[in-house]
Amino acid sequence: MPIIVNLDVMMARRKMSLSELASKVDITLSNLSILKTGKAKAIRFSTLEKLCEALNCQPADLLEFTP
Amino acid sequence: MNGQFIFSFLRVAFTVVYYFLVVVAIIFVGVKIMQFFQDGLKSERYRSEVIGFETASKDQPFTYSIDSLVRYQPVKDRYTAEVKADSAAGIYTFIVRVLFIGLGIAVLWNFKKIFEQTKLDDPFTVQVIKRLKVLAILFVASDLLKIADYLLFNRFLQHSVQSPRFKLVTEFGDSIITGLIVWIIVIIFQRGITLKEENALTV
Repeated sequence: MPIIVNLDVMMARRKMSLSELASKVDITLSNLSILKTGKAKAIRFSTLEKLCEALNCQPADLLEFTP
Repeated sequence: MNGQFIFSFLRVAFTVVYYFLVVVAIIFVGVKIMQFFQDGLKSERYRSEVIGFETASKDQPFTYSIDSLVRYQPVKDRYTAEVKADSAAGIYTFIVRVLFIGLGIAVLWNFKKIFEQTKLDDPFTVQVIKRLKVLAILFVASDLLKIADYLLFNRFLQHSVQSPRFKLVTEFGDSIITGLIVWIIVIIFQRGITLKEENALTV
């Protein structure tokens, strides 16, 4: 898939575990795992907003396009 | 009436009709087997409605009702043909009738399974699509069987009766249309599964 989700990179920078992030953004662990492993087909803006807020980053830090 | 009530009602209705048809089929086949062993089906005949061509019969006059609002006449050239059960035509007719009953049982069994396996919360499943595909094929097969029966039974008739030329009275086309409509529903359900999976993978 051309869009890569760099969630694990940002989580490592902020030293945050998956379960900790899931509780902060109110998303299930399984959904976050789907996002982290690149299996997600789409992401809602509301979810992206919550992730950026929890990880204190920009959307561009989380999403990368490789043709 | 909400959807759940209608769904539950249809599930019960199809289950009842399915078991009823199974009992009818068992009785039909059982009676025929018993008759075969008793007298070899010598006294049994199978009746079919046929149209006679090249007959010299004329149209009968209309009969009117007392108020003259309705008139009626016997249908010209319509006959009932009875074939002996222990003849080739009779054995063929028995096999075709068993096949039609079998197709009916298969259709009802698939409907019963669809209603058992479907949950209204999550109707788009691979099992339902498989059952719908089988249903579509069964509907088309029943009309193809009618066409084959029409061609073969006419041969049997013409072998025994050269004049008038008899043709079996039959209708087909509605089951093929039903099968095609069911196939359209299959396509819609396949799209439903795709949308369900995309929704599940939307975070």
